[in-house]
Parts: sequence; structure tokens; C-alpha cells
Amino acid sequence: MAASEEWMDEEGGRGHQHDSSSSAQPQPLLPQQQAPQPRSQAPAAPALTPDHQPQTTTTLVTLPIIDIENILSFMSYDDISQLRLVCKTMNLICQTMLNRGFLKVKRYYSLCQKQIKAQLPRRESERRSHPLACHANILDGLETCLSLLNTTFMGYLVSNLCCFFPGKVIDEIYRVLRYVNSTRAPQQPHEVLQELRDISSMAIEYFDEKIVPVLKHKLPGSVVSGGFMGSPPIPGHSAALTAMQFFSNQNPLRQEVIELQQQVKTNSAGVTALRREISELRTKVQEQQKQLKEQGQKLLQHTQIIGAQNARLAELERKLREVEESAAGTSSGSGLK
Amino acid sequence: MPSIRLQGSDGEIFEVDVELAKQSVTIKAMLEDLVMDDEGDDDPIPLTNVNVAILKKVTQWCTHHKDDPPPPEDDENKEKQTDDITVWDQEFLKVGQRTLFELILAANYLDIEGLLNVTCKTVASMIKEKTEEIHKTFTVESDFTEEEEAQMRKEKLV
Repeated sequence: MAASEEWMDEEGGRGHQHDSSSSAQPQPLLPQQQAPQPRSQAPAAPALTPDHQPQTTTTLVTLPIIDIENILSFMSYDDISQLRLVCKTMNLICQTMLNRGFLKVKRYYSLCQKQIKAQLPRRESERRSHPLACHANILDGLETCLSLLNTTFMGYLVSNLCCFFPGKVIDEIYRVLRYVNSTRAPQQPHEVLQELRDISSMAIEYFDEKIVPVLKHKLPGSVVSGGFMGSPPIPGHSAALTAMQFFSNQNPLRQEVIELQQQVKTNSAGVTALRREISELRTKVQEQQKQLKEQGQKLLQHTQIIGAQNARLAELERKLREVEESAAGTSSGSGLK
Repeated sequence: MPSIRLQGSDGEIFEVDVELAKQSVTIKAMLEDLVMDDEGDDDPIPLTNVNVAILKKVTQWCTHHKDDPPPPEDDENKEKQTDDITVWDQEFLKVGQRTLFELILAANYLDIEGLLNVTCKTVASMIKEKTEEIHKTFTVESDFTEEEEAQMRKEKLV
């Protein structure tokens, strides 16, 4: 997209250029007169647009929230997470959209899973050879990622302590789901999910190491600074456990969850290594089979050659015997005379 | 062609073709709700949130798009594009920032989905290009304390 002309925010502002071609020169604004002629109307008489009116105060952040959300809905969640830094108003709106985005992508996953499962046969053996088997495997892998993210973040979201800040993770989940929905023969699950696994595990680790210590300081009962970290509560959820119970380091459930997370991470790394090894071994086996086949063919050729030579030898031996016999007969006949 | 009279927030009256006006779901509902007798009630329809200058721009857009097919049903899981704005709309929206925001407000109030989408897409694509300079571009001041900003930048690292 072309670099845009910076807007002036007072009367007589210059127009911006929004052009999908690669380059465009900025042009001064001539409101009303530069807009293309409508099909069936005479050009409107010049009237004072807000740019020409003094003391108008409509800015991006003074728009109604629903309009700002509509604008942001055309942006990626990664971009939305970057916009939190603009001001407190944008921060609250972006937090809401990020939290909502996480819930929406989970719903989308459930919908995709339901649709794929409905088309798969019930019998496991038939499922393995079904054309949608790979799609189902990708969704199973995605479910693991979503569970980890849910376990890590959901408690804090419900307790209004933070938002689901890694927008890039939401974008990547959407990419995978759209890929599964639109591709007939997807790549192997570990290839499709590699990026998501990397960025979600990075986000989880970073959150646990850098953000959680700060959030725990803001738990009920401790001093809460500013409250700016609070995000709009997740609709439709109620905190079944109190925040103190949930986040307490003494909570055996949380310890178990952390251990499970680490276990899953280790297992995933092990599975990836095993897959690589299997692939290498498969290649070796194929090579060896090829060599065996070649050797078998050579062996056959040699056997045929040996057979032919044996036949020749036998023939030569027979001729030699005949010669010897005729020689013996000749010498005995001359002896008798 | 029958026309109706609209009164903007500035008190000015603006006459527009009824079929064009019905592209606004708000106006269409008002027309259906109003009892229009045969003698022709000439009272203009008050639009308290839109001034006539913006109404004229909106009418211009509606005139160009009067034969457009109805927009497809919104699929919340479909990726939204910002690079599919037509050349005509791009030229139409080469206006100042305030006019663009007023068009968004008007499209929202008048419930004209196509206009709302194209104006929001335009602003979204501007924001994408100017993420680092957004304070300057949109004259928005950051109201975070240093501590708050530092904490938020921590989250931005992911």
C-alpha cells in the first residue's frame, strides 16, 4: 500500500492517499470538487465540511466505541495489541477486542472440530485412512495449544487482571483454522502447527516469567496500582474460585497444571525429534532396499553366466573323452600289427 | 421521482430521492413508521446527528452505489480485507480526517452498512501504515504514566 499523506487536523486539511497501487504522489485536497461525479446527480454545491468548520472535536478516540471497534475489526489482533499503547481509551477497547478475539477463535475451533468430526467414520481403522484424517490430526494438535493457553491466561482474564495480550497467537490460530477449512490435502500437522507452537509457548513462558509476578502483586488483598491493568471482564464467565485460591503458589492444582504444561512441552519436543529420526530411518531403509534389489539382479546374472560356463565345460570334457578314446583305440590297433 | 426532505443538525433542509434515502435503514424505518397521508405531509425528517454537508456526501455515495447488490451476510470468522476499496471510493474518501470521522458517525447513525465498512476500512488502513506515528497522525495524547507505559511495553514484547 502506498505511503499515505499525513492528515492535517485543522480546517483546510489535506486529503490522504489510499491507493492499492504501489506508488502515488500526495495531492492537495479540494473537497467536494475533486470527488468523482455521481452517475445521476449534478455536483453538490460546495458546503462547509467539518474540515472547514472551526472548533470541531471529532477525533479517532472521541468516536463511539462501537465505531472504533468496527475500525479495529479490519486489523489483525497483532496490530490491535500494538495499539494499546496509544492511550487509556484505546487500551481498554483493544483489551476488550483481544479478550473477545480469544473467545471467538475458541468458538471457531469448536465449530471446525464439530464439522470435521461429523464427516469422519466412527471406526478408528477407517478414520486413519479417511481424506480428513490429517485435518482431524491438525485440530487435535491445535486443541493442545488452546488448552495450554486457556489454562495459562483464562484465570487472569476472568479476574480482570490482564487481557489476552499476544494478539499474534490469535492471528496464527485463525490462520491454521482457515487453512484446515480451505485445503483439501493439508501438510503434516507438525508443519502446519510449528509456528503456532513456537509463538504460543514463547507467550506462555514470557507471561509466567515476566508478567505473572507483577499481577500477583495486584491480587485482592495487596496494593493495586492505578488499576490500568484491569481489563473489561469476560462476558459469560464467573470466577468459580477466588483469585487468591487460584493463584496461590500453595495451590496443588496449579502446581499440577504447571508440571503438566512442562511435561507436554517436553513430550512435544521429544515427539518432534522422534519424527525426524523416523523420517531419516525411512529414507535409509528405502536406500537399502534399492541396493538389495540391485544385488539380487546381479546375482541372477552371475548365476546364468555360471550355468552357461558349466554347460561349456561339460561339453569340452565330453569332447576330450572322445578324443582320448579315439587316441587309445588308434594306438592299440597299431600295436597288434 | 418522489423525494423526501431531510433536516440536518444545522437546521438546513435537504431534498433527496426516496429510493436513495432508503439505502439508510434508519430512514427506511422512519418512513415505514410515519403515517403519510395522501395530501403529502411535507414535514422534513429530522436527522439530529448529521449536518447537511455530510448528508450531501452521503447522498453522493448512495447515488453511486444505488445498484450495488446487497452485502453478503457477515461471517465473523472470515478474514477482513482492507485492500479491496474501489478506485471511486478511494477518490470519494480523499477528505480531511474530520470529514472522514463524521462520515463514519453518519453511516453508523443512518445505518448504511456499505458506507460504514468502506470508511472504517480506510481509517484502518491508515492506522496500519502509521502505527508508530499514531499519536501525531490522529492528534491523540498518551495519558499513561511512565510506569504504566513500561509495564505495557513488557507485554508488547511478545
